[in-house]
Formats: sequence, C-alpha cells, structure tokens
Amino acid sequence: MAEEFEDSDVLARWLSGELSDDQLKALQGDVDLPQLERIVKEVDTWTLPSLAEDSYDRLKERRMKSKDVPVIPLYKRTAFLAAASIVFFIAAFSMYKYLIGFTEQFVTAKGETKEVTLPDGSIVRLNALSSVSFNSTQWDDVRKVKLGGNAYFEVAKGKTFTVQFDDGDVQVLGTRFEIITEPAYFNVFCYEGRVRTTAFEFGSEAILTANMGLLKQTGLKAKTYTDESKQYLEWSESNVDRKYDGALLVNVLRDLSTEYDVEFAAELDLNRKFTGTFVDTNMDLALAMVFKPLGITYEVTDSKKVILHD
Amino acid sequence: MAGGNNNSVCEENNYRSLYNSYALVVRNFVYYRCGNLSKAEDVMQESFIKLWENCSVVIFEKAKSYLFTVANRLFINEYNHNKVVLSFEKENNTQQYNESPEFVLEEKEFKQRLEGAIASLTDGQREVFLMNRIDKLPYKEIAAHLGVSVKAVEKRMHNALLSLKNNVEELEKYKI
Repeated sequence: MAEEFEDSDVLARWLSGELSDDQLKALQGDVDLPQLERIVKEVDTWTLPSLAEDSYDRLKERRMKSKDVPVIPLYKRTAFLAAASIVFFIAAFSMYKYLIGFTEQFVTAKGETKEVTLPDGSIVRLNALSSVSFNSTQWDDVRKVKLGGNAYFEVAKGKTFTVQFDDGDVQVLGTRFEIITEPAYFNVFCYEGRVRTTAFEFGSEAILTANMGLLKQTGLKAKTYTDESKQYLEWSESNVDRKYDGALLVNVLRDLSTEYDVEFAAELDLNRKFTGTFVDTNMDLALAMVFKPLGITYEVTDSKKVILHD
Repeated sequence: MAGGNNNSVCEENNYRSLYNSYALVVRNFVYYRCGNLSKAEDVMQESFIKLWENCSVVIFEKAKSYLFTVANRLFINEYNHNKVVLSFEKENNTQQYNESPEFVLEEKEFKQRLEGAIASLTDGQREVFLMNRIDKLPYKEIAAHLGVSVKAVEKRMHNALLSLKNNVEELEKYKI
C-alpha cells in the first residue's frame, strides 16, 4: 500500500461520498472497498439502547438535590458589567494571542496517556508523566514542539518538524517515531521515514532510518541500533493490563514506578527486553515477577527507592 | 438578560428540549470511551446538572458544546483507563428469519470480530468512527464536539477504517 495512504483522509471522504469518479477509480486499485463496505453496512445496523423513559425525571430529582441552585442575576446592570468584562478579556486575549503567540501545553499524570492533535493534523501520543508544548499561532511558520518524557509522533508531511528536549533536538519531514527522554536515559526510535537527531554530539548528527534507534544512557556512549521486532506503541496498549511482549525495560520500570510510586536507580542496560506481566496488588511480588526472569538483583531502600544490579 | 430571555437555558422548556436533543448523543459519546452504559448515563446526567447550575451564563446556542466539554472533563476526572470493549444491539431485521442458520451464525461471528476490531482502535479513532456511524453525526459536527479540526476528524476516520479492515481480515484468518 502506498505510503501516503497511511496518512490520508481519502477513506473518510469516500465514506461521506465526497470523492469524484476519478478519485474513486484510483482508490479502487488501492484498497478492498467491498470489504470496507461490508464493515460499514454491518455497523450501520447497530444501535445502542435508548435512554430509560424516566431518565429526565431522574435528572430533575438529582438536580434538586445538587446544592448549587442556579443564580439568576438580580440586576441587569450586573449582567451588563459581566458581559462587558467578558468582551474586554476576549479582546485583550486575542490581542495577546496575535502579538505574542499562544503556547499550548499538554501534560499527563501518572498512569495517564493522552493523544494531542497538532494544528496540521500531526498526532502526538503522550505516555504517562510526559508533557508537550507548542506555539499554535506561529505553527504555520515553525513546526516545533517541546517534549519532556515519552511520546510517539505521527508527523504530517510538510516543512521541517522539530522536537526539542533538554539535551538536543530531533528533526523530521514527515514520519512516525518515538522519543523517550529521562534524566538517565534517552532513546529515539524511527518506525518509518527518516529522523535526524543532534542529541549528545553523536558525531555531528545522526540520521536514523526505519527500524533504527539511537540510545544514550548516563555513563555510556551514545549508540545506534536496529530492531526489526520493536512493537509499535508497546506502552499505549500494554500499560493498560501490564502485559509485555518484548517491551523495553525502561518502559516496564516506568509502569512499575507509576503503579507503586517508587523510583529506580539502575546501573544496567535499560534497553533490554521484557516479556511477561506484573501484579498491581503487591509490590514485592511485582518486582520479583519482572526482575527474577531477567536475572537482575534488586534491593528496596526505605525511601521508596529500588536499586538494580546485573 | 439571563432569566428573562426566551432562549435562556434556565427556562425549563428550553432545558428540556436540549435534553431531548442531546442527552443520547452525549451518553453515547461517554460510552465509546468507558464501555459502561450506566456509568455513561451517569456522566451525561452530571453534565446536564452542571449546565443547569450555570444556565444563566451559558447561552442556548453554546449549550451543546458546553455539554460535551463538561462530559469530557468529568470523564477524565473519574475514569481509570482500561481497554474498552463495547457491545451493540442489532436492529430488528425481519429478513433474518428467511436466512439459513449458517448465514445467521456467520453474521453473528462477523459482528463479534468487528466488535473486537473496534476495541483495538485508538480512543480517538473509535469515538470518531462511532459518532459518525452510530449517532450519524457529520464530520463537521464531530469536530465541533471534540474541539479539533475537520481534517483531524477525517484523518482519524480514515485510519479507523483502515485499521478495522486490517483487523477484521486478521481475525478472519484465525476463524475456526
């Protein structure tokens, strides 16, 4: 299937009947439309139960119980003042937005993931405890985001797209890749297309192609590696039920620390793979389930810190 | 201004007509994310209560997007993310009685495979796909509800279709 096909909207427009005859003809060569039609036809016969008949009455009951009763302004003057100040703030805000630009920031909490759509339709999926910010007003001129933590990117084709983080930056034209940046660990992995990174003075810069990654850990030299088997977005699926199939150890540690509120100090290769699971009820058991199979010894200090050795 | 206006959300009639028009769509929207109908109905009602509490400041025309915004926020506050498996009812189809048992079974299996494929979509793809197919909302309206561009909605829709097709084909392979 053509590469552009992955990052398009043609099927959406096909479904809403917006394609011209020529476009339709071209599409027929690319994709099995009868199969798609069958899927859509099936889903179109599905329904969800309607609301219960007493649904509105129950709402009214709950409304009575809720402590805040609607406040209806006593004086029209108050309402006028309120309206006037809203207009003023909107005006001030748009001036600010126009002149200085507007930075939008998205942050995830422990155990939370979030999908952020950038102004050009590019998608950023944030893993837990991560953040991304960008200037939406100047987006047409500069495609640049700041990243902390771990995120997966699907960048729409267009001008150079830059991801900045503490130790360097990553530049691409339009592709899919993932970045993990933590104090002692940095990893960028390219799923598709080309990724250029200037992090850690790796020579002058490193260029990664599909299935290639760059890894840097404190105390070790930065190195590139290839990994044909790396699973697309292992965390966005697996951190839900804590099952791992060849997941990077660093991601498993992240989940453990989210689940049990502990920190890890590791003097070993965090890029190794883990397959298995851990329980969410008992920390000692969970640690054993992860580290025993990997032959890693660990000790838990009283300050909620876990120290790992080979 | 507020209160006296015929269009005020504080008027029971106006409030009720908002409920009649949007309660189901909001409930479904929450359902697509949490997979629990009674929870979804709860969140929907909670958003309508918030609307009532703020009826003097929310204008009638904006009430709809207010409801979606509040439902979305309530949901994020309360919900601990698990894999969402949704199930649907099938419209009564009188034709089915004329079909052979094999055909009926095949159809049932196809529905299950498709539900499985829907569960493996991303949240973003799933809600767009289902709001369009189940609630019959056009892309433009979905974009307004979710606060994203129409382009973004179309992309999610495209990826949803692509992923459903691939997943269904994949599951078909393992059919007994």
